[in-house]
Amino acid sequence: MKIFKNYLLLGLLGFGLLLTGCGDDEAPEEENEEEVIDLVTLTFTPAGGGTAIVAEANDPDGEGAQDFTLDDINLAANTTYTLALELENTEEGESITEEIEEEDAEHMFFFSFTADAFSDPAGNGNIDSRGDDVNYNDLDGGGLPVGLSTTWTTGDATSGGTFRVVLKHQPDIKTATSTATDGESDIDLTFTLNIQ
Amino acid sequence: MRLLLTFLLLGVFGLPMIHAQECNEKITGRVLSIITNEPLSFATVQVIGTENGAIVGDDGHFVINDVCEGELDLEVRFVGYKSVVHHHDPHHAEPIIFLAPDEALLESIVIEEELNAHELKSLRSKSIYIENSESLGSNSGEIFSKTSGVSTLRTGQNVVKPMVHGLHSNRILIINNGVRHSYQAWGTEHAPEIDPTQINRLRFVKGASTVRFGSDAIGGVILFDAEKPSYNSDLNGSVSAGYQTNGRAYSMEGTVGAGGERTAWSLGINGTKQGDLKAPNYNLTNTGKNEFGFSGSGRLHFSWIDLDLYANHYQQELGILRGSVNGNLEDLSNAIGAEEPNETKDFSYNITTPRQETNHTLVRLVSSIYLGNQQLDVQYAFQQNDRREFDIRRGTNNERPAINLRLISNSLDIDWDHPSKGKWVGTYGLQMFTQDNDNIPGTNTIPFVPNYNTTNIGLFGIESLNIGNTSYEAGVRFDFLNLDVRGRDSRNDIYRDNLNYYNFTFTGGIVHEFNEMVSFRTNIGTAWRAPNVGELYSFGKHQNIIEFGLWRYELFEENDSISTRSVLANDQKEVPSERGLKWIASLNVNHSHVEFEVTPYVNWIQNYIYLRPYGLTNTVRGTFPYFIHDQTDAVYSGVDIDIRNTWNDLTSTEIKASYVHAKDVVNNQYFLGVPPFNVQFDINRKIGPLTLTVSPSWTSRQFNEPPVISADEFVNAEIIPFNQFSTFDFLPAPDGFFLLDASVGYERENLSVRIAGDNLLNNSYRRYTDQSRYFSDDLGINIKLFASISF
Repeated sequence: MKIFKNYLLLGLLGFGLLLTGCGDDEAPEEENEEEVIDLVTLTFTPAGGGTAIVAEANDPDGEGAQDFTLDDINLAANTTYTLALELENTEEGESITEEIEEEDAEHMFFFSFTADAFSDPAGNGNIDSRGDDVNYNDLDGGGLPVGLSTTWTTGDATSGGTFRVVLKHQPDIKTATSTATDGESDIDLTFTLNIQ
Repeated sequence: MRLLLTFLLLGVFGLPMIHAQECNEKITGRVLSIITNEPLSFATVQVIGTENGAIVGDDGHFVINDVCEGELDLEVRFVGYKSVVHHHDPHHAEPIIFLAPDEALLESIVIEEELNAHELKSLRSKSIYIENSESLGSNSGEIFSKTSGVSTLRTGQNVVKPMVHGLHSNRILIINNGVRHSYQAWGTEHAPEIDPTQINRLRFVKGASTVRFGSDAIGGVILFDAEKPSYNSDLNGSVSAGYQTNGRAYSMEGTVGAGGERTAWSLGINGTKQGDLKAPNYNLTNTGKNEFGFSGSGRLHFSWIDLDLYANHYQQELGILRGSVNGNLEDLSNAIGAEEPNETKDFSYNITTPRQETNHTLVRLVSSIYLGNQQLDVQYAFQQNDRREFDIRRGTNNERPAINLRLISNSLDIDWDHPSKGKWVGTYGLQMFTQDNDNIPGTNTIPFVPNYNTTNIGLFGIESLNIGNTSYEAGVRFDFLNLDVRGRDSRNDIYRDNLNYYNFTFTGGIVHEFNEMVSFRTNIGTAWRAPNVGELYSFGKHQNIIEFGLWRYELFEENDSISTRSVLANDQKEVPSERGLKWIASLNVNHSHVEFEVTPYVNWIQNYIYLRPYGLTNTVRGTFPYFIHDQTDAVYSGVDIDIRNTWNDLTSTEIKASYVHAKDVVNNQYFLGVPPFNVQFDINRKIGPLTLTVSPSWTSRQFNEPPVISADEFVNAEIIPFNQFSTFDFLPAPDGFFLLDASVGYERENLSVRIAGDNLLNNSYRRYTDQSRYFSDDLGINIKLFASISF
């Protein structure tokens, strides 16, 4: 009878193997991570030529617990600059800027800054009120501003001010009146602004 | 083991057992009305082809003496009721025959007791039968919560998970036609993919019954079965249709079946299309759903073996409220403060992002082999579960799932009921269960959970001893579980681990019948579960927060810092299994027309895995609080009360109430999302051919809640506004609410019509256990129409 016992065990073992046999030990395939933005570069190019001023927000661990690092923005007083924004996923070598250009009807940058830090636009920017002045240089297909390129003329010297950039993703939401509270925030960064 | 082998061989070679014909057996059973559950005294039960028979007594029981051994047909008749022929065999003792009145749509049915129910009597619960008019177009979570002690955890109206005594997900088990429902249980927003029209007979085991059902049964077990095709029935079927005003949802269902002396089969198909739902004051944009299911079932019966095949496929496309999605804390603050949910639009059947698409397929074959006074059940099941979740994403990624998982499961269960030896009855079993989960490539985001394989082998034994009015029972189980994981970290590097868990579990219980009216049952049992992949490996933003699994962070006490750079393994940070110890008791008083049941319980869970807030992190998207999975000890205790009153043939009432109290006993704090006190009152009354039901219910505010820190406080915070060991909520618990539901049903011959209304007062309310409560009210008034024709 012992032999039966062995057959039984073998049978059960065989079935167990059958159950697990279809298992594999493959890791998930490598995915092109397109969600995370870990580097945002602000490039201020003076209108009359000269050295561009660059400020970066850098978050090497993405959604990890470490904070990002933010440069200060140091601009010259009474000077006109063109601001170009670049967004990247450095881990993947992916340019998010290009995606935004392709989907510009769904995206809009909003800005706010210390009141009257700039002579143009005056005021404190359009995050609190969409109608306030920001000089957008680029428009989407529907004639609405995007904000990858903007123009700024600094006022007199100040230090320790703030300069906040918010990128909103507004699929089917973006209109002439949609505001910085509509849609989801793709980026929301507050830099220290010094004007010398 | 030798006996087991003999049975297996018999199963394979198909040797029928030959019985000698002796005529000194007796058949006992009961005859009840299917409508009122009351005994039908003076009904007749006759053995077809003989003069032998019996008349049903006052208590509904009958005894037929001098019956020959073997199989025979019983005919049950009663004036004004549909008579039924029941094929009786000695392996299904004590048939309960439910007769349907002539004018009712329902057919008379017979419930056969198993020779041995393989269940712990000290945990056994009453069966609830769900009618099609209730399940068509509904969802399984809603149907499960029809009993006291079971509530729901929701993400809006389409994603509904059952909670048993305050526990959910991996802490409860759902047994679908005898098979453990295998799905991505780790996600609180992953509802079980169960076709509600297939839920016919529903049972609950509220105690810890890991010994019988395996790991995860810490809170309890929900069991349901589809309707079985009947033997000895002509070709029959039904066509049903439903419409709901809220969501302008329409549903259809068709069934067909037939049965001969030894075979029976049935087929069913159903579908639902629902548009945007509506709260009392606004539309709930993107809350439509599309569902489609079909099933088939076949039975084969011989005196010594029963074969039962069941297959079901169910697919769902579930919209999630558009306004419940947001980016950073400031977005969350805006969304919480909004008058109506963001992006609210006019009614539409369109489902965009966010949404979930699921497919679930189950194929199950069970064979019961009878050998005199023993029984052997062998069950094999295959399940495939596909889950794709679409988030709001940039560009073409919006059309790609962010989560795309395929889970294949196989299980083999062998149960053996040994011959009763004196007063001893027992069941022994072997359960093998495997899962193979793969991420389907093409999501363009690093998988939130790894690929994993689970292999579980469990062996159990349960014995019960009956002495007079008391039964004592005890059981023990051993489980081996292997978890093999392969995933990718945030730098896309591969991590692997292989984990083994060994666990013993025990159960013990007593059932005592003081007299015919009063019975008492109590059980104490242990349960366990392995940490799930979400708790171990989750990394990054999930809904409104950032979370890190137990092996995705390291704490350094020396400088109070945290690192999330590397993926840990068990030898670096041990994560023991969650272990539960649950005591439950139930006092049942059945006095003339009143049935009263009170069920207190205490569940102590060691190494309880929960999320606790740890800090704030600044990302380019803005500031987020982040949470870490950690372990503590928890105690869940509470009581369920159920009082049924049958006033007369026409009127009955029922009161169901549940209370649960849950606490983290290490850090002395309340958990988030514990269901508040709830009481429901049902009045049923028959008026001519109509059945009227009115169901008012009250759900209290949850007062045992963690402290509140609003999203605004985070936005403006200079320092971290919470203690790292105390959990918090972004909003206080919503107020208590009153709901009034009612229905009118009409049944005549082969037609059934039902009109029902939910939230008839159109009250605005939010459920504490709904993750959409931060953004929107729950459903407003909903009028449901249902009609069914059978042939």
